[in-house]
Order: sequence, then C-alpha cells, then structure tokens
Amino acid sequence: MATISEFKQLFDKFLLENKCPTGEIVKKKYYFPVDQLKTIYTFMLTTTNIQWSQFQQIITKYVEYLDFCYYSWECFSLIVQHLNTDKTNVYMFTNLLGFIKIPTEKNEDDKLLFKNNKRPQFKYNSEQLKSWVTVVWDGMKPFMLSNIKIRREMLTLLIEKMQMHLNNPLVTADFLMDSLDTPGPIAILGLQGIFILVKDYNLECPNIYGKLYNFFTTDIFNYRYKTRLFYLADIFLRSTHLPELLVAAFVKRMARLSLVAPPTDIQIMAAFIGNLLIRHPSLKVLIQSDSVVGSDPYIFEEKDPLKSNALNSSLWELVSLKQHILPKVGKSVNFLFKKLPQVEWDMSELLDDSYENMIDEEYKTDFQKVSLTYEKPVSFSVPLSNHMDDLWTLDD
Amino acid sequence: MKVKKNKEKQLNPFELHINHKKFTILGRKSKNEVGKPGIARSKSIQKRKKSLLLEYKLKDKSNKFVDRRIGEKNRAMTADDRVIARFTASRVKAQKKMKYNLGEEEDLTHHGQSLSTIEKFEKPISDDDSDSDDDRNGGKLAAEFVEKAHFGGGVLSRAGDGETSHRDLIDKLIAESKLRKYEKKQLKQETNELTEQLDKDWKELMPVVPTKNRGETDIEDEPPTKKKVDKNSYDILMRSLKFDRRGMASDKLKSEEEIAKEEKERLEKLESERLKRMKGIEDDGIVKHRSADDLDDGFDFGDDEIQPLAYNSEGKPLNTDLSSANEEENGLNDDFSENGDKNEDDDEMESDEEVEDDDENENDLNNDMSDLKEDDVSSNDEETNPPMNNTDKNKSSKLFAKKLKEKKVLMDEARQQLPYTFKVAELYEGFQEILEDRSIAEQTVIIERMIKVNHPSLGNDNRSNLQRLYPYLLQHLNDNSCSIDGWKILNLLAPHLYDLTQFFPEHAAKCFIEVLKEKHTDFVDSSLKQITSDMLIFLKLVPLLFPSSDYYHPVCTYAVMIASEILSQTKIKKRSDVASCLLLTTILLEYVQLSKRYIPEVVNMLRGMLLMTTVNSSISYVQQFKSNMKILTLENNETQIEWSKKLSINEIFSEKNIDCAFKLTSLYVILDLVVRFSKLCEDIPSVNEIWAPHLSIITTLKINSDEMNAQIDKTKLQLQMLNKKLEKLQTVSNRPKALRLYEPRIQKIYDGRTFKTESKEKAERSKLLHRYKREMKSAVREIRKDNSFLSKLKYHEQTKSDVERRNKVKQIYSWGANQAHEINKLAKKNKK
Repeated sequence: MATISEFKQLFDKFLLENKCPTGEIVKKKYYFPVDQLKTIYTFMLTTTNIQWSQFQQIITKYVEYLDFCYYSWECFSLIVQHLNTDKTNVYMFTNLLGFIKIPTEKNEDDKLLFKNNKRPQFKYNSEQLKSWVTVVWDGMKPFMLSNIKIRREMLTLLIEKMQMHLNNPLVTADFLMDSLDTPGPIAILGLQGIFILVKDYNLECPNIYGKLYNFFTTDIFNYRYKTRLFYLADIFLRSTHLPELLVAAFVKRMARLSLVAPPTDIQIMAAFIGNLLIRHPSLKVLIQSDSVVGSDPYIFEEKDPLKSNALNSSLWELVSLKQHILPKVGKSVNFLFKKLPQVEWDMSELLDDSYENMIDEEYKTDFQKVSLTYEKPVSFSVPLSNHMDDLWTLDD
Repeated sequence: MKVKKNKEKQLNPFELHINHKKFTILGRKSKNEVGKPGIARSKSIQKRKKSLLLEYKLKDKSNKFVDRRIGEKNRAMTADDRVIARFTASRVKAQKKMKYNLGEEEDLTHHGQSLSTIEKFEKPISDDDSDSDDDRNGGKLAAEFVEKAHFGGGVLSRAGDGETSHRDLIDKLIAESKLRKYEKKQLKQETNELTEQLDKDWKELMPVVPTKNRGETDIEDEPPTKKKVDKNSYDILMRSLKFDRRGMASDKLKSEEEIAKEEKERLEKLESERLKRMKGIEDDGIVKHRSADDLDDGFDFGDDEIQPLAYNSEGKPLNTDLSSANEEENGLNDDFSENGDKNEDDDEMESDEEVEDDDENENDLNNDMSDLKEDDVSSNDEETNPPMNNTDKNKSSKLFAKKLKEKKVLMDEARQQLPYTFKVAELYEGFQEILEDRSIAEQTVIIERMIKVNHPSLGNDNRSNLQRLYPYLLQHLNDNSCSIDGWKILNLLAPHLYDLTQFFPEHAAKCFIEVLKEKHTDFVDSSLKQITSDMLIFLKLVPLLFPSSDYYHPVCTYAVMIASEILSQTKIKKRSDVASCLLLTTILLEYVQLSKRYIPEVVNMLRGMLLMTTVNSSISYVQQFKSNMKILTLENNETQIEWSKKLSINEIFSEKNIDCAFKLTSLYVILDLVVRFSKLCEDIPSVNEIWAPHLSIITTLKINSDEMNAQIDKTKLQLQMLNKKLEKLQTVSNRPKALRLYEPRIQKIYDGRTFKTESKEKAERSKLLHRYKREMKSAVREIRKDNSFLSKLKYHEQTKSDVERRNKVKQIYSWGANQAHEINKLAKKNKK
C-alpha cells in the first residue's frame, strides 16, 4: 500500500536530479531524467488507494514546464506498451493523458524545468512527439473497445488535442465512423472527430448529413453532449448551398422534437430554426404558404431526410409552443410572427443555459405587485376544478 | 318719372374712386373695385346721428320720465275718452282675477275689507287679539296710537295730555315697534337654542333607552295629559313625532337580485383582468420607434421581446392594474372588517349564536357558489362549450357544498372547546407549543382565531403579527408534510392562508418564493431525485393563492419551472414515486386548467407512464424513462380484483410493493389525466402530433377488465377526436410592406412676396397679430371720426348760441336805446 507521502518523496527526488546530476550525462543531448519520471507515473497508475485529485495537486505546478510535458509523452509511450487492466488503473491513465498538455512548439519564453546553460539546450522535435502520441493512441485502442467509459474519455482527448499530433490523423476515421454508429453520447464525439477530419484533412464522408439527421431523436435531450451536437449541427448546416429539402427536413425534425424537449433546448432549437430560415430564404414556405392541408405531411419516422416530405409541411409545432407554460419559451418562437431579421441570432449564449440557471435567474427577478386569486378555496382543490377531487382522495 | 329716378341713381364720375388693378386674376372676386367716398361719408354721418348724437344728448342725464298713461300721447282722444278707456282697462284687469267666480257679483270693499263681512259685525278685531297675535298683524300700529293719531282730532280728548306733540307720538311709535321686534327675535333665538339642546340630549339618551321601555312610558304618560287638556294631546303627538328617533341616512337596501348582480359584475371584472394577464401583452399592433437610419431590413439591436404584462423586470406595473388591484384589496378589506366586527360580537355572545352565524356564512358561500355557477353557465353558452364541461362543473360545485357542510360540523365541534383569543407567538417554537397536542380541526380553529384577533383592520401591530404568522404556517405545513396529516392540514388551512395572502400579497409571494427555492435546492442536491411530500404540498398551495393562469406571475411561473424540472428529472422506481409523479401531474393540470397552456414535461411523463404499463412498444422513450422501467406492467391474470378509481394521497408515503390494484388504479388515473390534458390543448395546432404516441400505446393496451376497457375506449375516442384541420402558416410578415410615408413636400408659388417659414403656432400668432393691428387701426380711425363729428356738432352749437346771444344783446341794446329815446323824449317834453 503506497501513500501520498511516498509519492511526494519520489517526486522530490526527481526534482533534485536537477541540482546534482549523477551518473552518465549524455553530452550532446538535453538532460531530462525520463526514467525517474516513468517510475513516478508507474507508481501513480499502480496504486489504488490514492485519489486522482491528490496527484493532480502535486503535478499541477509542473504542467507549465515545456520539457516536463514533452518528456511525459515519451514516458506515456513507454508505459502504454505494458499497460494492463489488472495491474494498472487505465482510467487514471486517461486522466493523466488529459492533464498533461501536448506542447505544440518551442517558444523562447517557455519555462524549462531542467534548464542549465552548461548543458545542451532543449530541442523540440515534432516528429518525435507525433510518433510518441501515435504509440499512445494505438496502445489505448484495445481498452477503448472494451470499456465504454475509457472510450468516451479517449474520444474527447482525441478531439481536443491528440488528433492533430498523430502521424496520420486519417487512421482514426475508421474508429470514429464506428463510434458514430454506436448509440448514445459517444456518437456525438465521433461526429465531432469526423468533422475535424472533414474540415482539416479533406476526408470525404458519405451521407454525413443523413447520419447527422438521425442524431436528432427524442434521446438527445438526455445526452451529456447535446450542446456539442447543436454546435456541430450549426456548423454543418452553415453552408448556404445545401439543398433546401435537406435543411427543411432538419428544421422540421427539430420543430417536432421541440414538442417534447425541456425548455432550454426548446429555446436553442427555436433560435436554430430561426437561423436556418434566415440562411435559406427559400425555406420561408414553411412559414409562408396559403394552401390547406388536412394533416402534417412530414414523416417523422423516415430515416432519409430527403424523403421526409418536409418542404410540404409548415412549422405548426412552433406555433404550438407559443402556448408553452413558461413565458420565456413562449417568447422564443415570436420570430415567426415578425419579419425575419437579416442577421442571425447568437446561439452560443443559449447553449450554456440549463434548468438550474433558468430557475436561479427567475429567483433573482424582482417584482413589485402580485396579483391574487379572487375565489376563496374551501379545500386544497382549486375552486371550480374537479381534477383533484376526481382523481385523488384523502382517505386510505 | 321713372327715367328721372334712374338718372338720379347714376353717380357723378367725379364722386367715384376707382381702385386700379395691376393684374387681372381669374377666379378672384374683387369686392372694392369702385369706392364711393361721398356716399360712404354720408352713411357714416347718418349712423353717428342715430347713435353717437343720441348718446351725446343724453349725456349727464341719469333718469328719465316715461309716461304710460293710456291715451296720453294720442292726440285724437279727448279727455273723456281717455277716462273711459282707463276705466275699461281696470275693469278688464279685475275681471281676469274673478274669471271663475261665476254668478257672483263683485265684492265691494271698504278699507280693504269686503263690505259684506263688515256688515255682519261678527268678530270685531280687539286690541288684545292684535297684541297676542303679533305674528299675524306684525306691521300694524298699536290701537292706542291709531285712535289718537288718526281719529283723535277732537279737542276734548286732547286736552288731558297736551304735552305729547305729534312728533313725540311718532318717536314713541318707532321705539315701541323696535322693542317689540327685538323681543320677538330674542324669544325665537331662545326657543331655537333650547330645541337644539333638547335634541342633543335626546340623541345622547337614545342608545340608553331601550325601545320597548320608551313605548311603555309613552302609553303611561298619555292618558293623564288627555284628561287635563284636550288640545295638549295634539302637541304631545306632534312633538313625539318630531323627536322620534330617526334612522341615519343610509344606502338603499339592496334586493337579492341587486346583490347578486353586483357580485356578478365584480367577478366579471376580476375575470376580465385575469384574462388580460393570462394573454400577456400582444405587441403586434404597437408601432415601435424607428430611427431615421433604419434600413427597413428588420434588423434590430435591442431584443424586442414582449415585456411581461403585469410586473415587468423594470418594476413598472401597469397603471390600470395597479388601481384595480388596489380597489380589489380595499373591497376585500372592507369585507373582512365587517366580518371581524361580527365576530367580536359573537365572541361576547353564546356559542349557539355563533353556530347560526356560521350557518349564515355557509349560506353566503352557497349563494356565491350559485352565482359562480350561473356565471359559468352563461359563459359556456357564449363559448358553446360541449355540455360535458357544464355538468362536470355543476357536479363539482355540489360536491363543494357538501364538503363544506361536512367540514362545518367538524369545525363546530372544535370551536366549542377552545378559548377565543390566541396571540401570535414571537418565535416558531412558541407557535408550535400552542398547536401541540391538538387535533387538526382544533389547530385550524386556533389559527382562524389568531387571524381574526389580529385582523389588520383592528390596528396595533396586527399586520406585522400576521406577517410573522405566515412563515410559521408554511413551516407548520412543512413539518407535518411527512404524513397524510400534512395534506389534511393543507385541506383545512387553505382558506385561512387565502385570507392571509389577501392582506399582504407581496410578503406572501416572497415567503413562497423562498420556500420553493429551498425545496428546489433540496431536490437538486439530493442524489435520490425523489419527489417529496413537502414539495407537492407547496406546489399544490400556490395555485390556490396566486392566479396560475397569468402569462407571467412571479410565484406561479417560478413554481411551474420547479415543478416541470422535478417532473422531468425525478427517478421513478417505487410505488410512492409513481404516485408522487401522478399527483404532481394532477397539480400541474390545475395550473393550466384556465390558461390551457402546454407543458411538454407532463406530456412526456404521461407517455413514459403509459410505456411503463406496456411490455413492448415501438414508441421511443422520452425524458428520464428507460426501457428497463416496466414496473406497471399488468399480467392478464391479475386483473380480476377489486380496485378503486381514485388514488389515495397516502400512496405518496407508501413503502409497499407495487400490487395489481395499485397498477390498475394508476393506469386508470393516467388515462384520465391523458383525457384531461388532451382536452385542454385541443386548440394547439400540433395537438395530433403531441398525442399520437400516447394513442398508439393505448391501442396496444390489452387489459382484462371491463371498467378499465371502458376507460381505455374513452381515452382512445378522445384522442382520435383531436383531429385538427391544419392550414399552412401564413404569418404576418407576408403582407405587402407599405412604403414609408413622409410629410408631403409642397413648394409655394413665387409671387413676389417672401413667405416666412414658420411653425404652425407661430404662423397662427403672427396672423392674429396682423388682424389685431388692422382692427386697432380701424378702431382708431372710427374714434377719430367720432371725435370730428362731435367737435363739428359742438362747433355748430357754439356758433348757434353765439348768434343767439348776439341777437339778444342787440335786442337789449335796442331796448336800451328805445328807453333812452323815451326818456330823452320825456325830458324834452318837460323842458318845454
């Protein structure tokens, strides 16, 4: 059983290397005690009784040092080859990977932990770093496929920093497409990875819009990454050259979903729909038409957006939402009844909103006058309503 | 002759003044082409002769003599004719007066009295009489004086008191009459004072003397007076009538109908206000300020959200609302103060009376109820609602009344065993002590009395007492919320909380928001995410006290937010969870029953609940529901048992496992809720899409129970009936956009004159000034002409009088010369 004090001792010893370097010093190379750092990391991963936050406290100070981060990745590439779920805490490893930055390039003002003018200067080798990162990514693959939690963490890591440091980022495409098809929040992360590949590495992805379209189901409101989805969908649908049939299908789908969505998501989707209407003026048929139809021609269950018959429909859902119980939500669809502006709404503010925020905000609003009911109740049921009495009884 | 006349009319061209024009302008009528100065001058002189000259002649003469004698100015009449004419006129005048005294000859008079009465000599007017009846012959002279002054011409009578000259007599007369007048005045004043004093005393005495006694004394008093003097009985009667207790002036007693009508009007007013608040402000008709740089592209910098109607964030409540709300409050306060008085009286009296009083109250309430019912019926007629609603409401109101009665009995029992006054404790612990070991009914009576004793209309610091009481009551509810007792307390306490809330709405709202905030943080912080009874109690209480139909209401909107969050995030695992969720759904139903607004969380909840009852369904799961939550699934062999159609509120505390009866009851309630909610959102365009999943789940339900199947069929029918015909959207912006209108830019034609560009007011002013100047000039000119006319006149008069004087002087000189001549002649004669 290891304790945090032992770890501290180990770390202090590692730091003292700087003061009195012993043993062989390679003349032509920048000195960094990689072996010592590796033992520290291995220690971290093998102990079970120390929380990640405790380690984090100690390491935090050194994350700023360029050489520390750089050589950490060398350590990781060494560790990952011997990684084993039985002995090591793989989840902790993902945490560690997320915590240590991948240095992009060397600047003059970067801080170095083992700086010494007598010894050779630190050199940043991006090829070297890339190979290390690729080794780490390949090494993590088996764990990702077996454990969904690690997969999610690694996907976020990949999207946020690792992708651009891989030797060939396109190799992740397979993995990402695979995650795209798994249900749940992982798919959204996969989508974001694909998006980066499409954007930066010219990946051609067939039917990406069809896949995006099928993301919009009643489940998304429970996802952790739903705001990420809205953000991505906004970017994907940013082009004004998309076929209007496709955009109409998206608009209609979101409108339909907003009937069962929580209030904050309704606000996001209403703004999104408004933006799409501004972007694609031909979509005004959805709010401007004079023909009569018996029922909504849009087919919600259809998987293919182009076959959903959305253009023949109209946005009744948003009109219905005007009746939403919360005035804030009711107001968010008011744009339907006015002339559309030429500048789009900023959705980024809405993306951070949540139920709690909304309630807190409402709590803070001042009021001066309060209206009251004028029918005196005689019991706990509201006067002139029979709902409570019909359905509930105080007796056993 | 005619030709001659025509010729006369032709004017001498030298007497004409012709106004030459520079340009001839078409269509302009020229009034003054030719001026006739001679004629104009003569006209003005004539006019002055008629007006100014007359005034001049009458100058310094203050009165005048008008002769109105008949025929005086008529020279054709002779003196006899005039006399005859005058006499006939006087006869005619007299005749007019006695037009209706047919057959009666003219009454001849002497000294103003008809001869016929004098001849009878019936009642000679005595001196005594004239003295005593001063009032009647007020201005007449004393008999003594009359005798002496009018008829005392004889020497004999005069010899005795020779010293009194005529002058003395007159003085005496004046002094006497003055004295008499003064005495009369004094007497009158005294009487008045005494009467007033008596009135005052009587009024003071009034409340002390009971009515019965007064009547008795009257009867005792009357007979002796009758015996004594007969004529006094009249006086007594008159006085008794005069000083009889008079009721203070008050409003006309209102008939039942009038009261009902007033009540109805009041309710209608309140209802219309409520509707206004419900709808919120529609901003469609309002034209907003537009900048001059507006490009008409619809881009707007500010967020043009609709401001909430009543109490917006800037703290500017609408004026109308304010005043009306005040009125409302005042009215209510009045009501309460009356009640309070009554109750004070009651406290002094016996408990029997109190019961009666309560009965009255009950009747009142019932009356109110019937009014409301009528109201509903009428409004239903207008809206052509389905008759179902109507009967439902009637039923509910009957139930209402029944409940009231039951409660009354219970409360009366409690009432008789408790002291009458309670103080509001300083601390919550004290309050708890008061309520300790009491039954719920007794607790309610205690609280009721606390409120009555501390009624704000009774002054003191009652208001702050009650404000302190309010959170105690909420805390009391909170403390008891962990069992069914809490709901029973709520049931009885709700009316009193309603009363209290009417006293200080803002304070109450603040209390509620704090409590709800607390409940919300409890929910968010707990990992169990369970709906607890206390949350439900407070959420239940809110729509009782505050109008949940308002478009925005500080308390209700907050409560709905919290309720919908709780509903969408709570975990459903146990029997109590299901019951709580259903109860919360029912509570939310009460929130929206008037405003008919849409709550997605409720729809999702019902969908999830329905999915929990089915084994497999193609419908996707929403909100917190997962495919592994099938706790309400029914096996077909389980359905043949007894189950009730109502859920008990006790179920939310239940720790039991879910049994079949509970499953059946829950399903029944869920279906009922689906029906009720779908009825509410019938007008929403997407109603079909909203309820389609529910319908498809319900159609797959197969339950082996007749009652349940009936309910399923009913729900199915209701959902299938929601077939809204959709028309494609045609939003307002489709209208053709009107061009912007500017002020018409009209250029004036150049005609040599410069026009000042002035504002409207300034132009008007300068026009008036111009007109004033012209009028002033013409007035000065007229005055000048008047002066010259007058001076000419005076000059003529002067010359005239001068000539006259000269002539007279000449004449006098000639007389003098003549005289001198005569004298000289005489002198010559004498000399000779």
